[in-house]
Amino acid sequence: MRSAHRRHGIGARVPRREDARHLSGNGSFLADLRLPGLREVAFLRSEVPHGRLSAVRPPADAEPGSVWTATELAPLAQPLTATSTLDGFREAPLPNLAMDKVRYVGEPIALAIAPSRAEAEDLVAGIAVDIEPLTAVVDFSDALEAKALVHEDWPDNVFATTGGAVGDVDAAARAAAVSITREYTMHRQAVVPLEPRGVAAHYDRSADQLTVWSSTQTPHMIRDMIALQLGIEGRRVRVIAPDMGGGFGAKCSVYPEEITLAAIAMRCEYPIRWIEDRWEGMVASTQARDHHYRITAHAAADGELLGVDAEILVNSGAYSVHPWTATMDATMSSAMIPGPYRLADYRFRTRSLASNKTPSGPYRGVARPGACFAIERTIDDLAHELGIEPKDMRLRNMVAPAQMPYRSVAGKVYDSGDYAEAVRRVAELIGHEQWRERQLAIPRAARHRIGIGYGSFTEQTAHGCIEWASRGLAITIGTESARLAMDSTGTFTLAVGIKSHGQSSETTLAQVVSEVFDVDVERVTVVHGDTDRTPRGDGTFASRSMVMAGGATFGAARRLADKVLEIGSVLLGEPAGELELRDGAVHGRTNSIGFARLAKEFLFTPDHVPGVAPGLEVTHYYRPEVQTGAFTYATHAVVVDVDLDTGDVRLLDYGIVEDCGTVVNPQVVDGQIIGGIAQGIGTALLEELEYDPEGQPKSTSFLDYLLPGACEVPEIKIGHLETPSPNTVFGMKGAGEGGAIAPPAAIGNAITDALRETGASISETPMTPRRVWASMQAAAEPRTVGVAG
Amino acid sequence: MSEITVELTVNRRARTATVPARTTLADLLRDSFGLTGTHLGCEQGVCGACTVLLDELPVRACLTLAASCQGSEVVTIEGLDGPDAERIRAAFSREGALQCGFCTPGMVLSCYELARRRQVLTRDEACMAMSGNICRCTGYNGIIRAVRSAIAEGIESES
Amino acid sequence: MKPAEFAYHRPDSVEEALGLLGELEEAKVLGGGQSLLPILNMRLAAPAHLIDITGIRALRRFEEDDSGVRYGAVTTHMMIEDGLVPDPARGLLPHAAAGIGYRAVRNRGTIAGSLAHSDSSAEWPTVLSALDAAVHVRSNRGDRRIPVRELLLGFFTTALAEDELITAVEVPRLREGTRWGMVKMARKPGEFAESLAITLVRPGETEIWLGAARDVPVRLAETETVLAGSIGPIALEQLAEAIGADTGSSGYERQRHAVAVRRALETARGETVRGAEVHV
Repeated sequence: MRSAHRRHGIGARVPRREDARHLSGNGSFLADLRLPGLREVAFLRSEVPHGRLSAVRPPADAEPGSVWTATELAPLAQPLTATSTLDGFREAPLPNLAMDKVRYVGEPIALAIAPSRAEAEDLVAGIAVDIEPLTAVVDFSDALEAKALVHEDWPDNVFATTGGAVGDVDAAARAAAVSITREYTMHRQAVVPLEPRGVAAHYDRSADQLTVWSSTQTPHMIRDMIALQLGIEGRRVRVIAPDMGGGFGAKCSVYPEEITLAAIAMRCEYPIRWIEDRWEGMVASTQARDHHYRITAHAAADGELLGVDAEILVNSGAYSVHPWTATMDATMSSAMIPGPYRLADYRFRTRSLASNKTPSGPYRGVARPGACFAIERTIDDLAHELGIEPKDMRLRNMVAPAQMPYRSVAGKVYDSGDYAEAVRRVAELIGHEQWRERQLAIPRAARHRIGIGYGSFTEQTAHGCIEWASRGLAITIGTESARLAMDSTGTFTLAVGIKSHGQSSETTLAQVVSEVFDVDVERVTVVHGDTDRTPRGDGTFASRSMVMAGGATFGAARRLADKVLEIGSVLLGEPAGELELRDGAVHGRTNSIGFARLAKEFLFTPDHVPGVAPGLEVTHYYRPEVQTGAFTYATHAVVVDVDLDTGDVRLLDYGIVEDCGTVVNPQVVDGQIIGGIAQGIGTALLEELEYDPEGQPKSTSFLDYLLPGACEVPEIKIGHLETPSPNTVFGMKGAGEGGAIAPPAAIGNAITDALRETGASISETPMTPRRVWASMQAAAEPRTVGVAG
Repeated sequence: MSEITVELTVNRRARTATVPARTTLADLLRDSFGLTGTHLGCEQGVCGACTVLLDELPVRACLTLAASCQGSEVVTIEGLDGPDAERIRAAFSREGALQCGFCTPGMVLSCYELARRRQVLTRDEACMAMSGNICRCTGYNGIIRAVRSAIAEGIESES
Repeated sequence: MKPAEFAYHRPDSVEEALGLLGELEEAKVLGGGQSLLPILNMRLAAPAHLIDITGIRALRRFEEDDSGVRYGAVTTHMMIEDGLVPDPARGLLPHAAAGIGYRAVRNRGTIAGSLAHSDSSAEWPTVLSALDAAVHVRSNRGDRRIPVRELLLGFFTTALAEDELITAVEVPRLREGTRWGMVKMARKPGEFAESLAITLVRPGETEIWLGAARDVPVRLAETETVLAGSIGPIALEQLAEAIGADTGSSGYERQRHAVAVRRALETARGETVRGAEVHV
C-alpha cells in the first residue's frame, strides 16, 4: 500500500473518530432520543400472508386519536408507487396501512399511540381485524403457475421481464467441447442491521416545520418523499438520521412507517416514535436474495468460455419499493453474470416475480452474491468437466489489463485493474499448493474431506445517472454534495448529503480535507444525516459514499484552498502560486500564517484583505465525468473441511485479494472487507428466511434465524492491489459491498471440490449441513433423468 | 397498572424507581435513568447488545426484570471505568473492533468480565467466550484481537 | 416487544411462595427467566402473576452426601460450570452447563427452571434423565419427589401441578467405573441442540440417552440391545437404523443422532473423536 502524503491524508491509518462516543455509551441512536412529551407507537401487522381485509375495529375504550387505520390515514397520505421505465413494468402501490387486502405477513394494518411502547402494544392487542385468507403465492413455481394472483388486476405474477442477447450463443454451443446446464438457488435472507429501524416525528406549530427522525441511509430522499406523499411543500419538512446501528440496504428504501408517522404527527400535539422490534425487523424490513438461476455454459477444450445462457428468476415479494423497484435484483444480476470474463456470446432472460412475501429491497452486494454464485459455480463445474484447475480456468478467461477500459458483453465498462493477478495473489496468500497436498494426503477411509474454492467478481461502484436510468429507475441518482466552511478559529465544518452509519465517513471524509489542508482530522467536524444542515445528496448505498462524497469534499476543499491561498497571498504579500498549505498554515517563502489567524483576519476584518471576495465557505457538487462507474474487483479463496457423516462445514482458511483503487484509510477498508465477508459467510452457511408452503415465515427471531458469530468467521487474510480508477478523484473505487459478494461462490466451490469423488454438487444457499449431506445422498443414488434443482 | 418500586445501585450510585412490574432492567436503565448506552437489538436474549454487569456478572438486561434487581449492583457501559476498561476501549479502537457502535457496549462489558479473569485465551477460546454477542459490521476479527490484547495487557499490568 | 401486564411477587421464603402459588390464578414461577422472559417479551405467554423465587435464600443452598448432591432450585448454570457447587458426575455437569446458551445467560438461568421449561433440546432434561436425577417438589398439599424421567411429559409440559414448586434437584453420584460421553450437535455455539447424546459406559453395560429427538429425552433401548449384541465397532448405518426404531426419526435427523451417539460412545471410551470439539 502506498504511503500517505499527508499525516492525516489519503492513505493514512487514522484512528476512527466515531469510536470514543460508542465506547462510552454516548452514541445517540433513534431509540435514545429524548423528546418532551414523546409518545410511542406500535403497529398491528398482518399475520396472514394473503387475505381480504374487511374490517379493522379499534378497542371500544380506546381514546380518540390513539388508534389509526387506513381509513383515517388515507386523506393525509398517498400510498407510494415505485415506477420504472422498463417495458411492461407493472406498478404495485405500497399501502401505508393495508386497506382492502393484506399481501404479506408483517404488512402494517393499523397503529396505536400510547405513553409507552408496552401500553401501545396493549392497545394493538385489542384491535380486531377480519381477514378472509386467500391462497398464498410463496415460491417460484407458485408465482409462475399463478397459483393465485398477488395483484388481482394483473394477468400473472410478473413485475417485469427483461432479456437480451449479444453475439450468437447457439453458434458458441456448436463450437463448444463441453456444455453444461446447472440450476442454482440463493434463498431469501433478512438484512439484519443490529439496530432495528425506527421513526420519530414532530410537528412544530410555531415554526410550521415537520421534523422526522429516521434510521435511514437516505435522509434527503425520505424528505422528498414525505413531502410528496403528504402533499406538503418540501421546505416544511426536515429529516434527521441520528447515529445508526448499521443499514446494509435495509434502511435505504422509503417505508410506510416513515410516511405514516410523518402524516399522523402533523395532527398530534406531541412527538410520536416507533421503534421496530426484532420480529418486525424480520418481516417488515425489506428482505433480499431469493434468486433462482438456470445457467447453460459452453467452453472450448482449452478452457475458453464461449457462451452463456442465463435464465434468472427473482422472487421480489408483494410490492415494489421506492426507488429501487422489484426489478432491481434481476437487472443487476443479468448484467453481472458475465463477471470478470471475456465473454462474447451471452443471452439472458429475467423475470421478477410477485409473491406473498415481504417486499425485497437492497442488501449489501445487491444481486451480485447470487449472480456470482451462479457463474462461479458454473466456471468450476466447467473446469472440472475439462480437467482444468478451476483457478487456471479463471486466469484463462479474465479480462486483461491491456484490454482496459473493457466493455463487457452486458455493456458495463470495466475501468482498470489486473483481474488475473488477484487470482494468482490469493492462491499464494492461502498456500494453494500446500492445501492441495494436504487434500490428497487425506486417507480415503477418513470421514472428512478438504476442498479449495475460488470466487471472482467485478463490481460496479459509484456510477452516475445513466447507469440508474438504464435499470429503469425513476430517480437517477448520480451526484453528491459537500459544503466546507472554515470558521473564525481556522477549523473546518464539512457537511455532506450522504449518511455515515458505520462506514467511518466522519474519519475518512475529514482525511480528504486533511489531504488538501494538512490539518489534523480533529480540526474537521463532519456533519451528515440532517436535511437542514447538509446540502442535498442521495445517501449512502451502492458503495458510493467514499467516491462520490469524497469527490465532492475534495472539490469543495480545492476551491476553499484556492480562497485561503488568495487570502494568504494578500496577508503574506507573496504570489498565491508560490504558497503552500502545510501543517495547518499557509506557508510562503519567508513567512507563514496559521489558519486561525488567517481566518480571523479575513472574517473579522475583511478590510485587511482587500480584493478578496467575501465568504469562507464552498458548496461543491460532484458528478462523475465517466458515468459507468469504477469497478472494484476481487478474488476470494477459501479452504473448507467437510464432515462426510454430518455435512458440517468448517472454514480452515480464507483469503481475499481485492482492488478498490486508492485506499483512503487501510483500517476502514479492511473493516469493510471483513465485515462483508462475515455477511457473505452468513449467506453461504447460515442465514435463511424460511417460509412454509402457506406463506408463513418460519425464522422470524434470532432464536431461529442464525447470524454469524465470532466462531463462524475465521481470521481473514487480505491482499490489496491498488490500481487507481481513471474515473474518480484520487482513483478511489467503492469498497463497501465487495466482501459480501463472493463468499457463497467460493465456499460452494470449495465444498463441491471437497466432495468431487462423491459426485455431490452444491447448488443452494445456505449450504446447511442438512443440504450438504442431502447432496451427498442424492449423488449416491442411481441417476434419474433430469437436472438436480 | 401493577407497579413495583426497586432500589438498586447503578454505576455506584443508589437509585430508586417506581415502574410497571413488567419493566425489564434494560428499559429501567434506558427510560428511568437515561442510560441509553444499553442497547436493545432483539429482546430475545440472543444479540447481547444489552449486556450489563449485574453483581459483577454479565447478564442480558432484556431478559432480566427490573423488579428482580432489588438490592443489586448494576454497571453499564456509562459507568465502566478503571484500567481494564480503558485498556479495552483503547484496544477496541486500535484493532478496528467497532463500526456502527450498536453492539459495542455489550461487547465491551462481555470483554471486561473476561479481562478481569486474568486468563490467557487462545483465539478459539476467545471466539467461544464472545459467541454470545452479535456484531453485524466488523466480522469479529478486530473484536477478537482486541479481546485477546486487552486480556494480555491486563495480565502484564500485574506481573 | 414488551411483556403484557402482570403482577410481580417476590417471596422471601418457600412457604410464602407456596401460599402465593396456591391462591393466585394464572401464576407462573420466575427463576432466572432466561427461557421465560423471551416468551413474555414476545407475548407468547401472558401470565397474570409472576412469582420470583430468586429472592429465597433457602433455594440457593446445596447439600452433598455419599449418595449425591442436592441443588437448590435457583442454582445457576454458571455455579455448576465454575465448580461453585460440587459435581457428583465427574465432570459431566460442568461440561453440560458450559454448553448452555451464552455466559450471560448461564449467569442467570437456573437448573430447576430449565427442567420446568421442559425442552428436550436443552441440556438439563437429557443430562439429568440420563443420571436419573429427581426433583423435590412442594405445595401446600405436601412434598413429593419426582424422578426427572417422570417429570418431563412433553414439550413445555411437566408433571408439576399448578400449585407446585420445584425446591431442589437431586443428582445421584455417578457410579464408580462408569464413564460418560456427551455430544451436543448444534449449528452454532450456544444454540439449542439438533442432537444431544449422553452415553454411560459401565463394564458390561452401555446406557444411551438422546435429547432433541422427541419431545422428551429418550433412552435408546433398541440401540443399546444392538450394541450389546455386536462385537467390535458398529457401522453407522446400523446404529442409525436402531436409533430410528428408538425415536421414530428418519433421514438427516436420524443420521445426525447416529453420529452424535457414536461420538458420545467414543468419548466415553476415551477414544479420540474428530469433530467432537466443534460440537461439544
